Amino acid sequence: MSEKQNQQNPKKGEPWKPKEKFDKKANKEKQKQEQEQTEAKQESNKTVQQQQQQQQQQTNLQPIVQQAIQQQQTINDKQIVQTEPSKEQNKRKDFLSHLPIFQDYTSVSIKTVKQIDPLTLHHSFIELCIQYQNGQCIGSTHRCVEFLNALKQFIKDYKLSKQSTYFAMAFLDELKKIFNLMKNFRTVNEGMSTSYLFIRECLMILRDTKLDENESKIWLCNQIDQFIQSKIISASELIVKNATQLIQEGTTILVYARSYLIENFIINYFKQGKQLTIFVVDNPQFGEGSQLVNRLQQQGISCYQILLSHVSYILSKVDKILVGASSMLCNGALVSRVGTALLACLASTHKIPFLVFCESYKFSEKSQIDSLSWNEIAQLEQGNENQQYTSLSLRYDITQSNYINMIVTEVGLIPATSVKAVIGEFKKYNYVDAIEVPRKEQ
Amino acid sequence: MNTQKAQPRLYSSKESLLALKAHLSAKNAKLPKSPTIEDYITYIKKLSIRLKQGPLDFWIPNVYRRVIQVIRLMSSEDGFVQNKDKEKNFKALGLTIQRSSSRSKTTIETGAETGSNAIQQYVILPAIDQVLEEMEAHSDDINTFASTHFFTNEVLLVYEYSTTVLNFLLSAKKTRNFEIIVLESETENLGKQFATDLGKHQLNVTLTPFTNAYAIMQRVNKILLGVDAILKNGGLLMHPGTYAICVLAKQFAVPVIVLSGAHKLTPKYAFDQTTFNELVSPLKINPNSTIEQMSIGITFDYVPPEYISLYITNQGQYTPQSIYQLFSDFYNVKDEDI
Repeated sequence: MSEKQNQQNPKKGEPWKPKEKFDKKANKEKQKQEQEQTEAKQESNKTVQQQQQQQQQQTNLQPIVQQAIQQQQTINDKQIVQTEPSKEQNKRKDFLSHLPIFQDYTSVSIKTVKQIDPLTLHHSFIELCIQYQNGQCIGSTHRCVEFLNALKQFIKDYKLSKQSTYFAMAFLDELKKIFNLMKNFRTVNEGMSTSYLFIRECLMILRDTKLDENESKIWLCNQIDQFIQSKIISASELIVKNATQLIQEGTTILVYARSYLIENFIINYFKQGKQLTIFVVDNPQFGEGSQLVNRLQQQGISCYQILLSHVSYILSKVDKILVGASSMLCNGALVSRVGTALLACLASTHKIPFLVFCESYKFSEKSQIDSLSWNEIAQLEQGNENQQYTSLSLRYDITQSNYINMIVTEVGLIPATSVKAVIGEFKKYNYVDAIEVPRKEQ
Repeated sequence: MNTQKAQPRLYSSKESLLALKAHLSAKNAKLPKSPTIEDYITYIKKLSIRLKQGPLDFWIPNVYRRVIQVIRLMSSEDGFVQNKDKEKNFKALGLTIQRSSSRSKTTIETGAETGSNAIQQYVILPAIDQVLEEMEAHSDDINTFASTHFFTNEVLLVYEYSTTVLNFLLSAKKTRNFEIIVLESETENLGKQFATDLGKHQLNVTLTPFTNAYAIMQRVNKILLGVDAILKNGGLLMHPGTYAICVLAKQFAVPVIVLSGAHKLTPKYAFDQTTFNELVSPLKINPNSTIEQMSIGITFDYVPPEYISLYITNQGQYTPQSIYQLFSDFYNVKDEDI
């Protein structure tokens, strides 16, 4: 699926051409046309068809726009066709009616339901949102990195409109719009929120300097690169180093689902020539466990696969349990893939150390006690309309701090209760490090 | 090794009883010419060892143990059937009942060729019929307790398919209003099947994957489980995953109620997950499994008795501390080796 999209999107291989600058107004009309044409191919409502008939007389479409059509088609082919654009997203009627449901949205429904014009959305964000919905881009680190790459692309293509003179303030508004739109497709995870705060700080600094548009764009892209480098990549190296000291050769570890950090750790460990017995607990709903197993197989590492319901059998043979995190909350709770809390509960009953691998940029100032007050409902299978039961599958899980033995971060090995202290330290440094103020090149 | 859940355990138990009847009435049954009750008992024991489908098959021996116990009770002088009319009937057939020195041993002497058939007719076959009746009606007896344990608008948790639980819920539905959450295991489609079957009767059902168990546990008021076997110490052998649910239930202080017919009582002991267990083929868990990525799957989960609040059987309600009493009524200590 991803290869198919790559073929359809030559932008990734092509060099960036200055002629094809993202001109918002012109592209608005083009995207309008293309949308209405794609929707004409499906069963759609009469009002859209009327609009389409009017605009069919207009000019031909350019190749870039055709790619966007194909992308839109991939969205539209997969979704449940919405016959009424004014229909609100289906709310659950039971005890989880407060949770958002992310259906496959068409642009028309976003326009009417949310009153936001998605045509102003850059194509890289459309791609990203499609990937989020397909399940191609899952995992907190992966999502954050892809988001930041898309943002960099957007910055490069962004053209300041003639009315505003300050890049910083205009871009800040754009950033807010983007975030509001992204929230319609998947919840914004903690890493993305931290990067948003970081970029906002950068923009505040930019506002006070007097760089012109191109220079400020370059500086901002550099800052984003630095963020990725320091908070994600080198953090991962430090975490792997810390963890290697913790885990002796020959121990048996249990891993749940797929975590970027734990994968790196295991591969690094084996490259050093040491051996581990690995049990991978699979999550067939999201398929993450088998992804991890395949990835390890490519590196030549063998492991055992087991399902979460069969875990009780091997718990007596396991020395340590390692999990990754989506975020760590202020009260010491861990937000991670659903099923982690079950594993943590079993681990505490059997007195097995439960270690969490989490970078510091995922630390959050929120607090949450139980898994149901905030969560994300995963709509993975399309149920029959005739089925007499309701399906429920959550995406995240809250593990309480008393189940967690240690968090491995790049700032050290900390207990779950110290998360608040670490956040406090970072606040002094604008969430990342001291940001270097840009100077005008002369 | 047939521990697959293609049919409920009840079915295989019933089949084995009918097989016993067929074996007894066969002409080449290896019985001595004038069989006594003891001969029948040894015959049944041998048959159970032969028909047993592996060391983890508990249901056939359980049922045969029960038959033997009923035979003993029916033929003993202080059995629960104090039937003096039966003595008269035996006399009418020209038989005499000899009372030996030991208290519960009686032998029925045959005066005519019809003698052996008489024992078979009046003791063995009625015993088998009685056990069959008990088993078929077990659900009705359990359902008498249906509404005594629920309050209105409760949320119940069930796991995978269990016909006993299904009947219990349908019977409780008449007097109580509740909501059901069905946990489904990752491998088989039994959870979906259970949800559909419950939904057909207009019950409010939600189907959740097993991984969500912790998240929804705080909402649950009670857990109802079906078992594969109840062990003599009160421990249970159940579908894999139930141990995790019971551990969570203890954390959240949610009572766990176990529903089962008495034909699942197994007079054995287990202490950990490996005593009675078997690894299943890796290909069943994951069709892409290879030697480097071996999939591990098990057949049973052992749940220690501390996690259970109540056992509801067709012989009554018991706590884990008192369920051993049921064993001494239901089975005989001499028969525990089959």
